[in-house]
Amino acid sequence: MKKKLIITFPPENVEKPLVYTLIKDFNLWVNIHRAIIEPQKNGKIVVELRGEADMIEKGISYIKELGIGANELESDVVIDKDRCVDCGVCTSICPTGALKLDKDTYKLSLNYDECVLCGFCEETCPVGAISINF
Amino acid sequence: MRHIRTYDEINNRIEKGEAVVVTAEEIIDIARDEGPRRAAEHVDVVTTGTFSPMCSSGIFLNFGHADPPIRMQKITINDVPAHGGLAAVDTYLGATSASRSDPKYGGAHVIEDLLKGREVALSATSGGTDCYPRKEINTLVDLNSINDAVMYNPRNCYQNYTVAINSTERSIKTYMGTLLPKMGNAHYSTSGQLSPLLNDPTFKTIGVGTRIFLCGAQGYVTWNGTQHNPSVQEVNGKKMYFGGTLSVMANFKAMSTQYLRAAYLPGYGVSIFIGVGVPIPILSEDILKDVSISDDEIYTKVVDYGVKSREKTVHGYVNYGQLRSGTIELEGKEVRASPISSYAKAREICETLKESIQRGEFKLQSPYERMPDKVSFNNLEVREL
Repeated sequence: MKKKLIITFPPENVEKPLVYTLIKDFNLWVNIHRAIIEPQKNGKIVVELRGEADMIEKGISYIKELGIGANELESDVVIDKDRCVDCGVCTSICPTGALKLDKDTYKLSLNYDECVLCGFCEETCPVGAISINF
Repeated sequence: MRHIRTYDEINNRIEKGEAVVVTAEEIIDIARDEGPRRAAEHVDVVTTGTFSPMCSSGIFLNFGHADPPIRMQKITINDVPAHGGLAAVDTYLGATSASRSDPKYGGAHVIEDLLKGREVALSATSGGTDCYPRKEINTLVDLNSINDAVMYNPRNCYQNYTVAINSTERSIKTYMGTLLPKMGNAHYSTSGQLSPLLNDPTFKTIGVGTRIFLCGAQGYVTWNGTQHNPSVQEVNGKKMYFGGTLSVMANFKAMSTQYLRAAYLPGYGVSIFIGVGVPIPILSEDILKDVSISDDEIYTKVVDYGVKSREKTVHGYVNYGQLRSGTIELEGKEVRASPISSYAKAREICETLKESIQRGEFKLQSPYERMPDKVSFNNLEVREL
């Protein structure tokens, strides 16, 4: 099973060997999609965890016990459907193929499971219809 | 070319609500199932459409006179420079003109804001004359208060367009969007089988005076577009048409934001999505054959935008069927292809135009003059001053 998380940690917790522990003690695959770590600010990492369901839950509990925020990632990509013109220019920039034009309607669709919140679409969209809350 | 019907006959049928109107997509199946002759006998009009960024667009405005009056010489609207070289209160606001304070906001955004009914800030200065004593004006205006507003676009509706790729080692940012290194993606920009000038590639019906749909309003083809340079070349046994363009005009106040959208292309600048729809009267079987062309039969060339000179390297030819599948093969490599022109919107325009013809609200106008077949096409050769 897999789960996408957004991990938020205060500056004093940056030193904790989080990823190492998740791999070593909980036998999880940790795929880091995006990370923002700046001095004196809250750090943010978007990770995908893969492994046994109970191990994923235990891993998440471990993170929370450290005083680090771990929330399941839902849709943080917002497409303003009134603004979007379905041109589709974002589809070839999207590295995972999460953004696609429907083969029948030619309207834009986003598959959140495949999205890694890279932000390329937000930057590319000519009409400013995509925003990412990261 | 044997004529099946005339413009007058079509308009009579439109008036009676009897005209048979289909879109450029629907005609493909009709022509295949019934054959071009039978299809031509019962279809009166085929609607075409496109919705793409078209930089050579803008609006003429006449603000009306203030008291005391001013001869506006330097003009900005929401800090976007507009042309100050016309009569006292006339201006042309080009879509790509960029705001002096925000490069991501420009003429296109002012155009969209006006159409949304928003107030915009008009500022102008003048040297002052005896007849126009005021030297400065700063005021809010909106579309209702502005005396005249007419969209005039010197070049829209490119017949066909190259597919853009980038063979260099770094990403490049172009008017065709962001092109990834080493042919990482390909961007194309026409609505293919729906595109007006690909459905009438030899300009049998589209000419000066053709009534069109422009951003939701009824307008006209006013001339050939700038850089109009129609050409034809054979690719894979199909004729590949390139280079035709239209200049178009319509009442800006009658337009809808549904068919116009301000755009900012990163690293390039401001542009504007313009929606154009052109009805094609089925006057002959030949015209029917032209409009029943499908994406698989329409070719375009793949060009390297990484080349920084005027003549760019051609990396092969593809058809719109291949492009629309989302992947094309280039030099043995699978390359993801995405449009920058909205097929969904083009379809919506074809459908909207079809419905307004069916309701008798949109009649066809036969052109007063044909488009020039051949024009001289000059490059700008730099001469010493």
